[in-house]
Amino acid sequence: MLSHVPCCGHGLVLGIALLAVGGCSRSPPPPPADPLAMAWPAIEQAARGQILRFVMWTGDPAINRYIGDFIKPRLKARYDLDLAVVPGQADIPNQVLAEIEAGLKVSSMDLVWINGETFHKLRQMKALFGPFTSKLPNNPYVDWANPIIARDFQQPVEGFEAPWGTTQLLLIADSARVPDPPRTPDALAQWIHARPGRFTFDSAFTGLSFLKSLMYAYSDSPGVLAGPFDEAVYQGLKTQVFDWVRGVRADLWRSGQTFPKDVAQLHQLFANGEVDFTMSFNDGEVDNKVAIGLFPDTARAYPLITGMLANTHYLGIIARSSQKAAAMVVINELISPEAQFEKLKPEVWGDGTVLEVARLPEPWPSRFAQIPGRKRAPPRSALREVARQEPSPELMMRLVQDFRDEIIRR
Amino acid sequence: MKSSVARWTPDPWIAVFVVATGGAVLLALGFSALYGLGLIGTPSRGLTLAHWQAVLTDRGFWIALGFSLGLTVATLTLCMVSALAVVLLLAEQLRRPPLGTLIYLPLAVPGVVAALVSYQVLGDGGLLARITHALGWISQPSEFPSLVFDRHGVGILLTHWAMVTPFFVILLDRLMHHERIPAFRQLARALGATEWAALRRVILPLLSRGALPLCTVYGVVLLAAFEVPLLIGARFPNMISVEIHERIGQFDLALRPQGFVMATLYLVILSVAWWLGGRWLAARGAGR
Repeated sequence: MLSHVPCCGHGLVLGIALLAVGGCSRSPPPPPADPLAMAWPAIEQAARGQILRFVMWTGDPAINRYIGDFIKPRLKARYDLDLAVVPGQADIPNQVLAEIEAGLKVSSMDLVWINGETFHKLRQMKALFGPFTSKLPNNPYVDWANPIIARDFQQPVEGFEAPWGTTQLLLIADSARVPDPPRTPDALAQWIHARPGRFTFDSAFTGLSFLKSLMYAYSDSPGVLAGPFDEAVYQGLKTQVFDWVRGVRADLWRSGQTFPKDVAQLHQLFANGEVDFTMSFNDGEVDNKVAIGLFPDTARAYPLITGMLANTHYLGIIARSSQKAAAMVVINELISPEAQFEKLKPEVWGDGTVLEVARLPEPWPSRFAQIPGRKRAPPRSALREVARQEPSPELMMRLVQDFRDEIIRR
Repeated sequence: MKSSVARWTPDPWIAVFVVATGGAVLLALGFSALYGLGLIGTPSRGLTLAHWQAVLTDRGFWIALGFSLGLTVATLTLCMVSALAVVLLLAEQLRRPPLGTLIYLPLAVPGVVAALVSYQVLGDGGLLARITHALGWISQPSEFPSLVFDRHGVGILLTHWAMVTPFFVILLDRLMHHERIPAFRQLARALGATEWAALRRVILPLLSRGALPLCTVYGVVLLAAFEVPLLIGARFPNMISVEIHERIGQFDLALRPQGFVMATLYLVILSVAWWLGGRWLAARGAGR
């Protein structure tokens, strides 16, 4: 009888297939307990045997090795916890936004490496879990008295992200080709004119941070960019910085007709010998890049004496993560004296510690003091006087648009 | 009665295919349109034409569209000319190894890998620059012509040319034999046509008729190319997919709807161009 109706056979197969798919769907798992209401041993227990997705920038092989060779085995051994690294950085807020708009109850991200604009946007979306930092056993060792740690791009952290490392923007030059590097914007401009095509900066985070550093050079005081975004201050400083860029543009790499799209590409140009400068927010990067043979042994990092940005990078937990307990355990581990000490080593990463070393139990203060100094970058103590705080994230957002409209598109 | 019912009842599997493909595109178009109008999306604040106004008056969008179109036409032209030359000059070699086998290898190379290879070969510090420096033709890398990260998209064009030409070689070679073009060519020559006349009046019309559909499809693919322009393109002008991607992913989330407006506008323009092209071809075919 069914064969007389041509569609029925097809419809039966389709219907069975749909039933099978529908029948296979499981009821949603119960929501995990709120770790803020749990004692730390219970949080550690909840983290055991879990898989945690850590969204981080993976553009530096040294950082990837630190995570892969040091952190992951420690987490596995101590908590039977698997850390799954997922590449991502500036796109984190967009991914979170897409998940919110799709109505996803559970995020595909758990732990995120953020600061500045990403923190700002995630807080705008109420997408960060917290405040949680006071729950971490290692939190008392954090140097919260340092304003560069307690405030993220002028925003109070308020426990919604944990500091992971401190950095200072530095220029890197090959001392064999640049024996006397320029130390002010004017001197740099003169050098660029004298050696056309040998300098550039990227059009992403690091390069724009270089431009923000130049804003301090043209300001009357280091505190000019503190506090909330000020349109008049921004316009005045932006005009001077963009005038500097226009003044040197014709003598930049590729005659300033294009810019490297990120710092990794700029490092590649420097390593290839196409330009004589690169720059990095990791003031210890020059040592580890020389160690792996990417940079020449004659590479040296240095700051402009007019000031360069210093900031802290942080770790946040996505509010819709199903692994908040595991994320807290991992963060606690990452800010532990052992992990911070390993990270500080120039040959490992060279990233500054967020801990108040003097407050650490013995033997940590003496161990930190004995870390070999950086060979190719100034010591942190010498960089303090040129360290400048990050301005508000709104300034960066405006700078991104204005740089695109007034420089890139012209 | 039964036969007319059977004639009008759609095959359910075809219906599933249409819903899965065309339906997905319509869904995406609808989502983009609503997002761009401020009717949906977290950053949205209700119906607004501000994002449409911003995009329609945005020089960068139109330049990206024009740049993508120009680069696509140039790439396709270069690919077809190259493929035709290979097919006409190396017809016998294409029948056997090694060329008959090697011609398939580039098809397996993904766009990301092709872009990175292009950077290593065509970059200022790449293979060609080092060879010319070793030969003494240039004294430093910056003297080597800018073939990647350049505003004319030379690196993008060359990369796509290397990726796509083998496909057209295979396509034209198959068409040559399926349409029996060598026989028609021989006939034309026997009737007194010159080689050039046989090419222009016999070979090219037969090949273009057979190749046009796939050429058009590939043109759409190249127009929306992403990985190669992202990796070796200049910061300006962008190709359209890179421009849309940057707009959707920019820092200021309030401007994210502009990226969806761009995507909607791009799809509408492409659809209208496709429809007009179809009508023109149909009219041309009917006119014969």
